Amino acid sequence: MNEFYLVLYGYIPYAVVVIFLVGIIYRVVTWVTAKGLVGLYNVNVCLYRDGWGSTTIEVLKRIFIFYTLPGRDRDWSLFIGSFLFHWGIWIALIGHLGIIIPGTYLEKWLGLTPSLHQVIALYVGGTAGTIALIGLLILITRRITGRTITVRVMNEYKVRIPLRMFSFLDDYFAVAILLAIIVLGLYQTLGITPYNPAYVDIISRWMWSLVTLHPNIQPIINYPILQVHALLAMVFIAYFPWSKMMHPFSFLFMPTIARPAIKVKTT
Amino acid sequence: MSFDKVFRERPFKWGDVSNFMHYLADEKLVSRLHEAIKFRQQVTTDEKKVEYFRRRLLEEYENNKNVRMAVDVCVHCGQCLNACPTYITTGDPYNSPLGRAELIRAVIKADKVSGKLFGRAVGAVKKIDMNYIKKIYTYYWLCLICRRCGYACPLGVEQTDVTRVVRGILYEIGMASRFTALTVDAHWKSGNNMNLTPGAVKSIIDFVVNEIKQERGIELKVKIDEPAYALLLPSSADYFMNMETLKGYLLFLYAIGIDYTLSTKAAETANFGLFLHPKHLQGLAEKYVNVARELGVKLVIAGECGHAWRAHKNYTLPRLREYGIELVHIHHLVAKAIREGKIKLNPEANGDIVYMYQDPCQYARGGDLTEEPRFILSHVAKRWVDPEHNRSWTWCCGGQGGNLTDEVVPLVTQYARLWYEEALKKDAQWVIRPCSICKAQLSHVVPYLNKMYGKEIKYSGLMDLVYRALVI
Repeated sequence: MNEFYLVLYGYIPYAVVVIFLVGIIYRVVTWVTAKGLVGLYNVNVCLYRDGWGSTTIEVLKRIFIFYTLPGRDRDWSLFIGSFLFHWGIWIALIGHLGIIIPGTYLEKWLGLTPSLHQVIALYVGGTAGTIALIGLLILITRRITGRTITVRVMNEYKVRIPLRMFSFLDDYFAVAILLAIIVLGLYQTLGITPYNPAYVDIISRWMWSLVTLHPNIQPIINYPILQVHALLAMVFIAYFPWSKMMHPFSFLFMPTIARPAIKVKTT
Repeated sequence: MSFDKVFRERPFKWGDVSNFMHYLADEKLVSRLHEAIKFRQQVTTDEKKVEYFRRRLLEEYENNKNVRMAVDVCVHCGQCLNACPTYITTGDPYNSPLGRAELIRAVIKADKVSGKLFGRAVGAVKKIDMNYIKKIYTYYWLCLICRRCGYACPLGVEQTDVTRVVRGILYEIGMASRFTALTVDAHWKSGNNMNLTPGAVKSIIDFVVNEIKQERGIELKVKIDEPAYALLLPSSADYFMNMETLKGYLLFLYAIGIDYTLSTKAAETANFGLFLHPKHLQGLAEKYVNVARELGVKLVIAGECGHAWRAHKNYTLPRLREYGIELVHIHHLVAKAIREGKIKLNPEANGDIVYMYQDPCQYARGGDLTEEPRFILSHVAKRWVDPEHNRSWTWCCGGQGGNLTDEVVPLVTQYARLWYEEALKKDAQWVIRPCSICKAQLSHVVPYLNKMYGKEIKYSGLMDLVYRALVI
């Protein structure tokens, strides 16, 4: 049994990291090597944006503040859902550094005492996980129920957005696995850590052993929820580069956004 | 009205517009077009066509960055649906960016591991046959290529480029919209969409020069096929339907004293290759490059035409620059002349009418040309308003992307309701849409819309107003 655990939580994580990195490189290479733009030199989708400075700002705005999401007709569900979900996930991911790096190093390098670390994990991590969960639930609801948006001209056009009709197994797989990861992560943050101060240290002993290339699965052997959480995370990480989950990276290469328009010289 | 028969034969039905399939170009016409771009059609049977379509789609997916990324990263958020005029006004899910995308993604998916393992569950199509290809043809030709979806998509996925790719492959298997194919054919043969002969171009210019003399008392000398500093490219509608626009160009260029010429080899600014196949797009654009070089010009001036402006700005201009030639839109020159005080304008000449400036889609989405026309309008009209959906959010006239064709008039009349209602909402009496396709489309649908809404909206280009306002 121990061998099985050792393979699953001691060796497979390395394979997952390799798949993740190779996958991302592969996908980016396929994007970069595809040169054509259906016969044109430029397919920009932003008005009067022909410099690299404004292009960079556009890319960053889209990645971090989702400013296009309410759309012209102000459908806030996508904006609120996406904003909460993505920011929640990002903060939670940064928080995971505190689980990977052992407490002694956190204190030595960053001055983060175990008690302060626990407070941050509980309040910041708990809040981040909660808002990610709320965001994801909004997005899932939106996808399952669809939406009706009102486009106002002189008359009002009620536009049905039949998202379920255009959602497939890969869409549901990604959100389902994310939902499970977040729920389990949140449960550990809010339901276990406050009652077991050593929990974070237990996890970090396992994770740090992976980082230092001396896998030791003993610390987590008696923590099934953590094991399921980690297993789902590994599935997700390995799946990520081969799926639409790559969309955050696309901003950097999307020719409609990341490339300035051709400037007309009028002087 | 002229399209009553089409309205009877092809009634519009909410939620299903599959009855509006564009008429197909005949084999002879398609062969002629193939020759123009030196393309050899390799497939004749239905089975081979289906296989060719599948293979070429995968190739194009590999080769075009915008297409590849569109297919790879679309997360089905649905933002494009309520941006798309073809979906808003018809309610047919396949007549939408996402619907069209799925028809194609299903083919690409069928070739991937996930598609082979999970089939329809991941959206892969089970069997591709000619019926499926016809469905693709129908809906891909009903796309306006207006690019509103690309501006709405948070990831910048532009379905209209996928539309252009798919139309290109359909063309390669012999399936092209007759209207667009005829237009491209005319352009290859005569250098303009209307098949104008050099003699006809000269006669029309003589006629217009005479009219200007009678109306404004000025005798213009217009060079045709002669070396000059600049080459003027009016648009087809200017020669027939909107001569006031053409008069506007000629009088304005006279007023600023620019040395320009027209060319009978490139009598108009157009490029329906944009709607048909990238090779036609490039081939037709190269004609402008060659004419500009032959005439030894330093500047090419594009007239009022949206789709041509997009093709010029994003293909012809970089090519011209390789030979030290620049390209601008006539509106750039007018705006500059106003700023520099080179021309005098009297807005009184355009009366007390409330004008509305509606951006042609290819000026606002891919043309970076939204402020110059407004600046000009504020100098040539006393009263004008902006629609609520303006600039990048402008509504297409309903005739872009090859949808000027007669057999879809009942459908595009629905598409056109959006821009028409913008005018009504702001009590505008006169819509300015400085684009040849817009003006042609409006000539089709405005009589029906005026009847439908009980109003009397008029329309024109912008240079028409410049013509009247110019003080010489």
